[in-house]
Amino acid sequence: MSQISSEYVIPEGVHNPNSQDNVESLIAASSEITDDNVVFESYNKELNIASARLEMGGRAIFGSQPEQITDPIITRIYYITGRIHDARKEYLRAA
Amino acid sequence: MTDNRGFIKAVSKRLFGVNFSSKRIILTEQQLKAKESEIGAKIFGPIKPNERREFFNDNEKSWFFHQEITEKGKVISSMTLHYEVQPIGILRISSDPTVKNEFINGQELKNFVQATEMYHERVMNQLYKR
Repeated sequence: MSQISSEYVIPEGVHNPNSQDNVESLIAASSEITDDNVVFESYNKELNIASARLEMGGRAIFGSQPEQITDPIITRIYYITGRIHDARKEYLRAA
Repeated sequence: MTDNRGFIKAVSKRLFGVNFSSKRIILTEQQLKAKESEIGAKIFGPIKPNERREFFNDNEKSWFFHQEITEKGKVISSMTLHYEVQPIGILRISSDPTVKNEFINGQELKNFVQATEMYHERVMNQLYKR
């Protein structure tokens, strides 16, 4: 999708194959392994997974990371849905 | 001595088809959503006699808008829009294959936000009495 770009901040704890740290650690790891292809195959696989996730609208990566929200509109909508859910739960609990 | 409860029961049942002296009706979660949807549908103006409209919040990430137009008892057009709330935006998924699934912006985003605000206010006041 056109809205998905590489500008997204990947939440903490989610492996980002594009980060410099990961690239450096992979290069470091590759020097310890005699068969470089093993490392690069694995790296390419990670890249493919990341790109597939982005194609899915970022849902796989971002779907359950509400703590990462910074947009006030989205925050407001989460607040509204949260209030509605609380009201429903309270009604059902009291019933 | 007159049995008032019996009298109320008989009159309410005759007038409204409901027995007011009995226990209040407890709604299930699905029924609550249906009630919310009735309220939500009115946010978008009067509903025509040949129109069915739904607008409701299904879960913490999903809002649905549905519209059906019937003619001579047959549905001649229908459209369902699923608005998925994601941390990066509101993804609109349409039942119409000619409508692109995309993150909404501009006026559509403003309208969606306004609709959710109105839904929140009305549902809280009219259904949950808050």
